Amino acid sequence: VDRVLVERARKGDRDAFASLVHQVSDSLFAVAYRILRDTGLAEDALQNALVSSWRQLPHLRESDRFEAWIHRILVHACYAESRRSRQFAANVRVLDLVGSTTPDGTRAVADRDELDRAFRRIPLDQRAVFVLHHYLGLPLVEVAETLGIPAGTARSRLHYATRSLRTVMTTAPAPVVEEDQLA
Amino acid sequence: MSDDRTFERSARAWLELGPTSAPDHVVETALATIESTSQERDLGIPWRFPKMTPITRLAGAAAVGILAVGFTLFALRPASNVGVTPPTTAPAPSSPSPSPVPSGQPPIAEGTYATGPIKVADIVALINADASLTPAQRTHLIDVSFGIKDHTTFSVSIDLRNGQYTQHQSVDGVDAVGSGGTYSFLDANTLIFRESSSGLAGFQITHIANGFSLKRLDAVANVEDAIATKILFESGPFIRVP
Repeated sequence: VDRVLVERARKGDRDAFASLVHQVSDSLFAVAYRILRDTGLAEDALQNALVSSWRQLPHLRESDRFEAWIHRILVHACYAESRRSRQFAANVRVLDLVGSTTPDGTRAVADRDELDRAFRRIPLDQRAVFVLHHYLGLPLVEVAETLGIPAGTARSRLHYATRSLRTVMTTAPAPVVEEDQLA
Repeated sequence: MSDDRTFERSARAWLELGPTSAPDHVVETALATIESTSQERDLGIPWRFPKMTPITRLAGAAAVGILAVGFTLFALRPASNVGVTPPTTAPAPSSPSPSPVPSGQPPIAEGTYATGPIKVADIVALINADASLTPAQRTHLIDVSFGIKDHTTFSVSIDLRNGQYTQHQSVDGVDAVGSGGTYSFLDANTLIFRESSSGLAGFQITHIANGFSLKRLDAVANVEDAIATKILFESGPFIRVP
């Protein structure tokens, strides 16, 4: 990301901010989708994160930290979006899960379904660490910096997320839907 | 999935599935919203210094102390004798100096204060008459910020309690919280609101029976904020709600 653009956007240049948005929005959306596992929620989270980041941009002190900073805003937008839509999101996912459990005869698909079901059951803060570490490839120290949490907390969230996923996948063929635990 | 490496490989492959491009309509909607959204003001004071040595910490504490003493002296100063030639006839020696804020009694008592109903048509006319606004900004103010399109009446109320304020706006009787934060009085005629997202805003108070009117003291740089301030805070008088 171009630091000059960040500086211009900090000072209220909307065109500069639009350029930044076009540079980072794909990555932000991909992360939001993988944390929330829902396209609609991810779209709302991205939109809210972009508007919030525009409003808060004058407070950003270090231009070269822009990407980490905006990812933090995005993760918080994901938390908020999940809380806001928890009730009706569950209904949407019933259809999603029923569709995804249609057997297609391959072990890979079965694994993906298991992972998908297991992932939906773990808390959002653990999902965020898991996605930033395994999808974006950030080292745990950077994950911690991005989320504004101690490195030890990031490590323990990753540990619990991994353990939960492994446990569910190896021991319990999940029921199709547990609505009150989704999102 | 029998070992850690297999699990990680599967997890990473699974994470690779799914969309990798943001939908255009989401980005365009966000950018359209930003067109009519102002940035938060930056006071230029970081919440924390990157490294606080004992000396900087001491200097910071001293600065806070000096500011606190200065603010107290300013708030308690006599209100009207600065720069005024003393009267030639001596006042009664026992009469105390006038205090701008009577101790224990705030200039505005705690409670809820509301405007009467305001015609939406009047607000729309006010917005449309503001030549400094673009058509897109006018539409956004009417449709989104105030949400008054196709409505009839609008009113504003301010709740002042325990140093906290909440500003409500009501459209055809449906109430919504507009902003909130803390408030304080600089003197008997100056009210300061501090909202977490937009910072400090100072208002001159005009006291009336059972209420008050407000007039913004500091300049508002953003044209949308300026008209929002006019509608939300200067459209009084605000009369105490029983």
